[in-house]
Amino acid sequence: MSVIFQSALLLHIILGILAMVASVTLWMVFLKRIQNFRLIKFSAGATFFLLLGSWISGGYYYLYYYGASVRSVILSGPYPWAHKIVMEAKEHIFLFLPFLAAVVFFAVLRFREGEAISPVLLRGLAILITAMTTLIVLMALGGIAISGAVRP
Amino acid sequence: MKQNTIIASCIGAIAAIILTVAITIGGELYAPLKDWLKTTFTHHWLGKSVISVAVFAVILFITKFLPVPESEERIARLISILALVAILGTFSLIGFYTYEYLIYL
Repeated sequence: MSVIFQSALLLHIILGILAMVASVTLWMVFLKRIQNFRLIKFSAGATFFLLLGSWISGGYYYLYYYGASVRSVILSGPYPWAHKIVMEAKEHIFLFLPFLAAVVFFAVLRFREGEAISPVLLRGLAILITAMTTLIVLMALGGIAISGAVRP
Repeated sequence: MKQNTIIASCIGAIAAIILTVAITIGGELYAPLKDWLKTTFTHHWLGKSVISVAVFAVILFITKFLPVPESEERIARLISILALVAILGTFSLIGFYTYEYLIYL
């Protein structure tokens, strides 16, 4: 694998893990009802931009290396389901994440110190952040399964 | 951030996710659709990425300028619908690819 593909894969993993950390932070802040708006806005923005970076770097690796060199190894190995189920689902479910993160980021940008936020809106956002965080964790677990399945 | 922008982004995200699931499953069941994505965008996944971003951006732009009634309850309801659509989309794709794998075993 060339340095550029190694870098793209590493970037995809590192940015994805950092997005997971940011999303979990946001989730915990919402669950504990901590009114730290700076932390909320920073975590939501970080989740969005890190996911964008992970999408672009992972997409580059997937389009120009995975399909030509990795897919066939997985399909002919002992765990073909890692591509046929996990990778096929992962590559498409990942497309949801930047949109979920964008909506969360737009919504929390409205928060102002000293202004009351309706409990209904807080509950809705908590549900969306829970869904987004769960999907990011699923993506990470999927990535681990796919990497583990690359056995000739 | 205006409430209208949040409402517009919610509607755009819901549409982008539904369309992604539809063209993904549709492309697997109807080969010419996947072939069209490949020939137009060089790769079907790139096509889905471009289309989902375009749908999100266009709906965000259009809805932002429509006179949509604003309320926090409305935003909360749309956000909950978006979460539900994302979860259903996830189950649909995992279920579809599991089914496809099992029937060709």
